[in-house]
Amino acid sequence: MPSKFPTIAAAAAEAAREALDKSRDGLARIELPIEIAIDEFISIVDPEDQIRIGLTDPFRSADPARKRLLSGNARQLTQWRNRPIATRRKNPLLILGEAAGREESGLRSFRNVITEGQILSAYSDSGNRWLSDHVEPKAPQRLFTALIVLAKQRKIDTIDLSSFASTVFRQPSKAHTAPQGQLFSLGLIPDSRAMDGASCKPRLDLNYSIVEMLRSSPDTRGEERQLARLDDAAESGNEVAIAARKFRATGNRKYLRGLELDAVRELLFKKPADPKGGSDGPSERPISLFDALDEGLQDPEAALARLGASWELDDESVKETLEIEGHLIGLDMSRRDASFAFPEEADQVLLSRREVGHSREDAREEGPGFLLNAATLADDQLGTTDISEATREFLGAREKLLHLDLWSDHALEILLLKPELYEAADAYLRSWLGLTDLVLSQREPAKCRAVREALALVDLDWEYEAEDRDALKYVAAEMYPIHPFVLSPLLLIARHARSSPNQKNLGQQLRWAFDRAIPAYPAIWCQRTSNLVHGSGSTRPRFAARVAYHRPEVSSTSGVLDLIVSYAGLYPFACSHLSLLFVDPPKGSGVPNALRAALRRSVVDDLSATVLTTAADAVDWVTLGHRTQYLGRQSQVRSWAEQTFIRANVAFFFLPARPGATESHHGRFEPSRGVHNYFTISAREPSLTGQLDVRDEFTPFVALQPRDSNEVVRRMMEIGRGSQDEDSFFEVQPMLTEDEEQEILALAPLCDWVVVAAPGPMGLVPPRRLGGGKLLYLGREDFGPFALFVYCGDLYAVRKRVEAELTEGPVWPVGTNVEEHLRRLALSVPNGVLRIGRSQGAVTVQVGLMAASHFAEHEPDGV
Amino acid sequence: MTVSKLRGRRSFLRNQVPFLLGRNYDRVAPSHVLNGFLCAAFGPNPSAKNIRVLLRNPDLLPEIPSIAASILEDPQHLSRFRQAMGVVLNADRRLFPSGGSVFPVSLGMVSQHLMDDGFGSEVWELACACDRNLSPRIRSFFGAPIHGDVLGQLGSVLCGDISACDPKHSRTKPPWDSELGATYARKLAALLSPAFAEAGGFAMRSSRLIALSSGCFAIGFLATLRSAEITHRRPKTWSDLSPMFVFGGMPPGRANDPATRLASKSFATVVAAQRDALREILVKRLKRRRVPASTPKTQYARVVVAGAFPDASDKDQELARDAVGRVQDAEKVADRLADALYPAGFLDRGFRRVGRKLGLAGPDRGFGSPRFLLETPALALLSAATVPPGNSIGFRDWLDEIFLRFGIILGPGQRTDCTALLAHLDTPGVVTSILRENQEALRRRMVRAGLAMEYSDGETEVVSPERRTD
Repeated sequence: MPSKFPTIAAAAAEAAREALDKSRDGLARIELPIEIAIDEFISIVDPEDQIRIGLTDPFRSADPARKRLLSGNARQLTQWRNRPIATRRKNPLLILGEAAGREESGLRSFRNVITEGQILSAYSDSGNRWLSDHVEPKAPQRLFTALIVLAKQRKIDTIDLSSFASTVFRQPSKAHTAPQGQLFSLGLIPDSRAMDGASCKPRLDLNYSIVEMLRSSPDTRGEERQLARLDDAAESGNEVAIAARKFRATGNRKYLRGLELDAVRELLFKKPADPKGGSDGPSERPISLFDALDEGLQDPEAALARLGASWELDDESVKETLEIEGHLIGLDMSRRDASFAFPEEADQVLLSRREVGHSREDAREEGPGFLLNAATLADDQLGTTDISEATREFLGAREKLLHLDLWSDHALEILLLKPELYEAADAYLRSWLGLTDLVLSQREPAKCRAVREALALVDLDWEYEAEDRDALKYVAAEMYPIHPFVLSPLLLIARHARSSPNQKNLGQQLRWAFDRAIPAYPAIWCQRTSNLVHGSGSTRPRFAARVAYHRPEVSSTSGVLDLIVSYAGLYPFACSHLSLLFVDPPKGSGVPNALRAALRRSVVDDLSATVLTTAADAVDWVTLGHRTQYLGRQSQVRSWAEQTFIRANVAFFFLPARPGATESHHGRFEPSRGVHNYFTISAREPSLTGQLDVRDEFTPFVALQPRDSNEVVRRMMEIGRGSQDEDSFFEVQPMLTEDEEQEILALAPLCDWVVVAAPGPMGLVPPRRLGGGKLLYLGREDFGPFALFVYCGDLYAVRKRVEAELTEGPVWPVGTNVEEHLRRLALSVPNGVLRIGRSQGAVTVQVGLMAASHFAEHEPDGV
Repeated sequence: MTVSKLRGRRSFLRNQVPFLLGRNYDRVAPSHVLNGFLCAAFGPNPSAKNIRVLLRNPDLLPEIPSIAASILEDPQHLSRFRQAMGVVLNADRRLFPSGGSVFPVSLGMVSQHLMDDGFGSEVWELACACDRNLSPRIRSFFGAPIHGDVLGQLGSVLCGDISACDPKHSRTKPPWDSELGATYARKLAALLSPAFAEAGGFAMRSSRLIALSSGCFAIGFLATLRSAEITHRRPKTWSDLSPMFVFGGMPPGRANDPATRLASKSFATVVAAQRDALREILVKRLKRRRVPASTPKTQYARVVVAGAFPDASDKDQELARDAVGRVQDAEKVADRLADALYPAGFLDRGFRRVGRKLGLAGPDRGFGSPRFLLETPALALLSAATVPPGNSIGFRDWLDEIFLRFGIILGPGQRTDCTALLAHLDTPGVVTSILRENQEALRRRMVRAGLAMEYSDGETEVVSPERRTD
């Protein structure tokens, strides 16, 4: 006859006994669960009646069987506490409860205080010991451990757990079958698949969330629909639904008995009957709009229309889940409280101006009259009325963009879902182009100067330095979300999606374009003052004369996820647990989604992320999930890395964008056809005044020029052009600084791979080797506006992977040669080496590339 | 589109349910409610327009005779004067060129506008019905300034003599006539008492004005939170209403904290109870209206809506008819109207937004599910309203007092078993643990914040703010 499964009272007694044995002062206090079996606890903790036991709230009114050496009187207990230490060692004092009452202050802050969490840990240890001694399968242990975690999270009651475990583990032979059906006694729905997974926790969490939903009031339309389905099923006689509804009405867990988790889920999330013949049912979690477009909807236009019709632009937020073509598509968006461009109590605001350091509320706002007056002046001088009419049309079109401004945090989704807003935005842009065209085409530009200057200021919140009021010096500006620099690329992306909604991976394309296309150009031009360069933000971009270092936001997941897949492929031991270090990860959903996707797609069983920041513009680490450890903000990565004991598999080091400048550039190559901007890379001659070691080196520079089709930028450039001077273009030097190089080298000893993430427009010219060969270049991936450059200490893991693949072939790979070819592959194919880790078949392809490259190099004729 | 147009319209139930959450709850702010409160008490003052011009219309010259010509004639001086006055009178920036309120250091700054969404006048009616001496107390509160009362002197300089203000007629009965409703109204009115405490003196006018403003806003929020349920259920005790458990730890609390979860569930329950109550009230109103059997199907909505809600404007009735369609069953009509007036999430968002400004609900949108919590100023307001000046009260007794007065559950309770009230929200054992932990977390916070004192014998007492001032 096997021994009984331990109870929580026994585990608590064990913990108390241990604490008293270890304590030198013979004092301990234990915070027991309120409904614990006190008699059992006392009999186990003190079978020989040697321990003095004090009862405080909530056990003061308990009436244990034992009467000797027991008191609920605070003064008596204080006297016991004040006994000489030798006496206390002989008769230790154990206080039960919180000791929070009158005259109990001295009993509360003992050195040894056993909390309920520690009792549960002790219970977990003793329970798992019992299970490993008596039960062969490991599944019951996993379930028990997961239930302990739930109890620590206060999702289930501790005493209920104890009685549950005592019941279901009474017979070791049924330990792997009994618990699933008895989950109702814990307030959970019986679940025959509770022990099926590698970890029981996710399934129990799902179970708990459904119970919570049944128990709570619906707070979204989605939940209302789910509960309505339950009601419908109950009215049609479905027993599962009737029992679930009874539980919902009474909260009595007895109604959960006999239910089955999957049956309840089926009822709640049941897909409506599909006339064409159903699919396998909806996925468990709603996916985003872009993910849905990636999945390939059969009728995406109808899906967009349905999603758009499910809420109103007047709503404050939308939290909707719709089942469309077998997918659960979720919309979770909220609008801003107020619009600066369209205040509630006044006319539309065209622009605002304020002195540096003043708040937005103190800004001087300009209404439609500002532009109309300038237009009328121009018309008066030219003897026409065209400009005034075009201005009125422009203002009329602008008035219809209120909702776009309010929902600008989700501008792309809104343009896809609300056709009326798409039309309004398109009309506004056309009217802007019409007006600017009219102004710029006048034969006497001097007469249109006022309206041209006014147009350059519209849709921006300007900050100026205090000078003469007639000659303000603008030093910074934030664009309204309806500025053509923002609206034009957004419309182009939305137009692409609308014109080819059936394209494969459309969602990824949209995210990719969104990360890169806004604003339409990283600089703006304004008269009589220095030009302003893009600093931060996308839908509300901020420009400034002096731009601080910043990291752009990322919404796409691909680059980081690809690298995780590559690493897990090349280092298989990391599949069970991958450890990542992020230094200054950028804001946006990109990094958190990549980590979630790695877990969801089972690339790794588990992962943990450590986050270190050096700047305020990094991602809110909380969004990375509970697997994240935040190390705080450090001023120097290098000094931190030299002292830390933290180790990781992969370290991501996100660099800030290079502060660009607007410089006059010869623009040797004329803009080509296409959309957006193109680069001109040039090398500057050595500077005679530079540092000694770089005086002989040419410095690469990247200049960014708008293409012809980037009409909005070209127009704005012309409007802002004060004279016949040469145009100024955005320019940046894409080189690592010496400090950055040292910081990267300092991270190298902490991890296998160091990934240097450099933001656009061009990223970085990656050095082949860093630190005189300490780090080797492995390849690059794209991650939104960032380019990820991967470095590693040696190529051993990659070489072994290649050699393992070649063992069955008629070749004899020589280690040094393979590594040399891998180095060349890394330089010639951006992600060639990284692909080797991604799939079994990738090695052959890359070996083929290496061989072809080798033969092409040595035998140029291709023989 | 009909749904969004009807949403939050008060004209349907205004005469039956006071403190209904209105359509523009986003605008409601403490200074607006105080302005509405004073406006209801004494009427608007014409000189308020000049204050608005001074603060928000830089293109116009304010017609305030007491401003020296040297300031008015020099644009730079005038600009600096405007800024300085803005710091004093418009610190929360709730004044706009066409509406909004200043910090009313004088009754002369009270203006009439809709930015309080109607709460101000309802708070006045409630407070006045429960305290017959309120009007003279407010008049003396804003009376002639004495030496050292800088804000009072500023107000009289800017607005001149305000003795012409006459108190308005107001309601004489509390807004709810049930047993608990009447008590609740009196307890809510007591939230204004810290503002009239004698100990502060005129030198403390700013803090007393803040207390008055917070008190008005708190009355508005706590009343709107329960009004529908109290009106419909006519409760005798708090156990007849949905339980309001408030998170006592440091706001807004971690998402996976058990107490935070329970507070979120409680919030959802309270919101659902209000919505159900509103629907039931609509059903009753509609059922009471008998419609002749011969009424054509197309005319049913017109007849029943016009009969049940005669006070609603023609436009609102038309919108309601559109929302109801051709349904002919009173319950279904009520469902449709309830959906249109209070769609899913509307009350939820409204209570959250208004409560967040007071510090009794949160967190801000997008940072987790809504829950009841207590920011420290709100905690101070509750302690000031419940502990008499110069006195103290045991911490656990104070928790009982808070529950008995406002129905706010913060711990297990001595006189009432709060565990039982929350039993349907979670397992009893879990609820017990959460309540104890919540009570302890709140106790520690109050001690740290100076709202309570912990003695060497382990006892904790909540102390009155006046005593701390001394």
